[in-house]
Amino acid sequence: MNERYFCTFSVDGLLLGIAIEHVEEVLGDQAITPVPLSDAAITGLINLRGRIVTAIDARQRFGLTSRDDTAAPTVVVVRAHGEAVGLFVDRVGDVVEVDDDCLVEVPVTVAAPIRALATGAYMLAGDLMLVLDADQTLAITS
Amino acid sequence: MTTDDEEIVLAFLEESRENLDQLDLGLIALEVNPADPALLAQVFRTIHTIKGTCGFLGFKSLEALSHAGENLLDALRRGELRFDASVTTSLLTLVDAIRRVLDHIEQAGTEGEVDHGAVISALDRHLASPVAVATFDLATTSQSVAMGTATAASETSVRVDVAILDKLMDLVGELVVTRNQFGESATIDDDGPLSLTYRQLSLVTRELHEGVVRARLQPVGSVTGKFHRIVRDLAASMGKQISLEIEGEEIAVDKAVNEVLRDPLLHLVRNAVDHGIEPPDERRAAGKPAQGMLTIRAFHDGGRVHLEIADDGRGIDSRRLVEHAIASGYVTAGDAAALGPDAAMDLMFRPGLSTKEEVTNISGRGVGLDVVRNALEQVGGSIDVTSEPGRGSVFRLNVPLTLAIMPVLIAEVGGERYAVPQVDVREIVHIAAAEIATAVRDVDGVLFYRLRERLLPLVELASQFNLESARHADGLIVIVVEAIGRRFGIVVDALGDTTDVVAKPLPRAIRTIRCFGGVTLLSDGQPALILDVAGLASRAGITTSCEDIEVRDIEWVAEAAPASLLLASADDGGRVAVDMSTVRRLEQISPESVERSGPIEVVQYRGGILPLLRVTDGLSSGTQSRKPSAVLHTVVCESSIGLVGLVVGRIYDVVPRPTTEVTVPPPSRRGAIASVVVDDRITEVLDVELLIADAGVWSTA
Repeated sequence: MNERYFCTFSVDGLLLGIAIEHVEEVLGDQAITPVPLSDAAITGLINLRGRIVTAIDARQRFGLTSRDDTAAPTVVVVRAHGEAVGLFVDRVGDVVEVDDDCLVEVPVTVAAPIRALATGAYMLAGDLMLVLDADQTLAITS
Repeated sequence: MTTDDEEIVLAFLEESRENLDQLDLGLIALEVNPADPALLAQVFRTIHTIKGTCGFLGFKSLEALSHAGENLLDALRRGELRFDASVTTSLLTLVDAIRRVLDHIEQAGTEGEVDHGAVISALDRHLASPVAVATFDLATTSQSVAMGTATAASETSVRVDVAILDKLMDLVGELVVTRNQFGESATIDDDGPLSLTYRQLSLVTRELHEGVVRARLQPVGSVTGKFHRIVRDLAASMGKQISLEIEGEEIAVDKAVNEVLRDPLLHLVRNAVDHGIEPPDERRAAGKPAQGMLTIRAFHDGGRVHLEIADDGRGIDSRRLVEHAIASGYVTAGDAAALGPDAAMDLMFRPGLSTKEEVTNISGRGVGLDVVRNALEQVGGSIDVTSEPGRGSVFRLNVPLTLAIMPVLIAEVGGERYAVPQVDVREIVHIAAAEIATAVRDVDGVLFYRLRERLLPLVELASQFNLESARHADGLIVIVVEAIGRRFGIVVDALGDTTDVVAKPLPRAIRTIRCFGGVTLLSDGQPALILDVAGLASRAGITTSCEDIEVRDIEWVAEAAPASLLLASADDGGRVAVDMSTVRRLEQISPESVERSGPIEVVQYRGGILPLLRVTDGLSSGTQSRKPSAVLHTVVCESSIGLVGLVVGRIYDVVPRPTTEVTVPPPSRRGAIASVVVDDRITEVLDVELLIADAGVWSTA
């Protein structure tokens, strides 16, 4: 039995998870400074208690439809490549505990952009949670 | 060992290593100037000091090593022995041996078991068969020699742990942010006690910041100094002859910046020695001197430190680069054809494109120029290269002076604020709406503004950033900036304050956007991007050729001036012309009616006095014409002093003014401001005011 913990969140109906050791915190609405000429997935810069952190739009990153702007976005602060990056998601879920042995392959029905970033999946009470590779997810350059 | 002992040993290690670095430089300098008595004395003293400390601390091996070195140096400085390459090599080997022992002491606490017999006997061998030199007078004066940059630590300085300096810098940064936030509330107070306190706080903060910045400064030489030894050893091992010259070693930069420069510079120097400079026979065959030249030049410009690494080696063939890129599948042949020369050269900085087939020990494997560029860009620096195949290459790097606090001007574009580094700002210009029609022009797709007889390229930040301009008024607000010799104007929607901000490097995801050099938090906590003026210039296509365009060089002059010229000939037969707008009448004046009023010729004309200006070739003083003619053809013109008469040879015609002007050769005739070509003849256009000024004619009213 090998427990692993994941922070879960949903993006456009998809349930995703990032290993807890990569997640710093979860924030509410943030003031964003847009960055001209940057990659489309980059929403801009946010002020995280004095640190300037890049914010990435999960929907853009995963090639999904744009968010309906009336919903208040939530930011999952993920640490990878020695840097903190804010990931804008639709809603944050719970921290779940899974048994490492229950890891399954990512179904082929999952769209290509996400499949490239996912390392596996777990069945969670009827829902499929895709495991995201933090390093890959945050690897954007402009 | 007790902690006290440990500290003593640590201090000893640090000091000895510095001394050894000094020795390296001194020995290499002596190789070039073997008879320099001051150099010899200094090198001897250094090794003597090392020997003394080693003995005191009980390091027997080190003592023996340095003793052997000291003996040899003593003989050298007494003129019993000549300094040559083999002596230098033996002494440098000694220095390396001492270094290894120091490393061992650092790691294991003891000197280690290595037998230094070989090194010592090599030194003694020189003594055994001395090549005697004619004795010379050793000056025992205490001239200090510039062997490198670091001088012996004076007693007015202290060693400070770098971590402490870093902490101080962070604290000052936080102080600045706090001060800014305080400033927001203090300005409401308007000269009350709060605002007074704020000003005081501001002053003290600024001085503290400057103090900490200065404390962190280190000469660039502390990085480049080591290169002398490296180049010497590397060149020798490859059988090449290379001389290294370093200029600007005393330029002081923040220690953190020096650390960033260390590896890139080392990489470039090694590249130059390894790939760049050819072996002596190849050089001679190419008509070059056998010895190759490598120069490193450091200088300040516009808030940045610039380094140029130049070699006179084989240069870089951009065509080979492009071929290699196509062969590696990096770029398609079609795309490659579209690359300009700069972009082609830029391919060098892409990962995986090393054009040296063999992988040598010296250059390492896979560590390419992409790593160098990355390291520099991480701190807001940049690198590029120019090269001429067969002649050599120049790598140019630059980094910001400090990675910390900078004064900026806030500019608003498209509803967002951006910070423009004050150090790049030259002036601010407001162009009124009415002026735009006459003062702003589109030339080949680039907007230009006529600023005091020079053309300033304009960059509209809104369109560069693909934003909607949120300009309020109808005029234009232009921030005139300059970076790396390129001057241009940035058009923004509105201007904010000048303020100090703590500059942080760009986050990884946006590091490659050339227009930005960093990020910062404004006083209201909102993140803002700091512009990289040089990057913006590159992106907007501002080239240095814009710099020297003077207003008269283009159609501008024709559009601003009236459309017709009066053509005439001068006394000497050359062609001249005058703007029709100033011409009032054409007269034929009889020479007898010409009178003199002091130095000026005048004629009574229509109830007044008309001063006459003879149009000559400018060589004579212009008061006498060569042959007496029947009549004086005079062009009566309006001027600032009233009517004046230009006396010409013949009047030909009135023609439309040509739209282009000849600028080479410049007009030589006195009073001429431009040259045009009319009917295939060069015609010098006269300016009445200039003629008047030349002749010293004053108002006769």
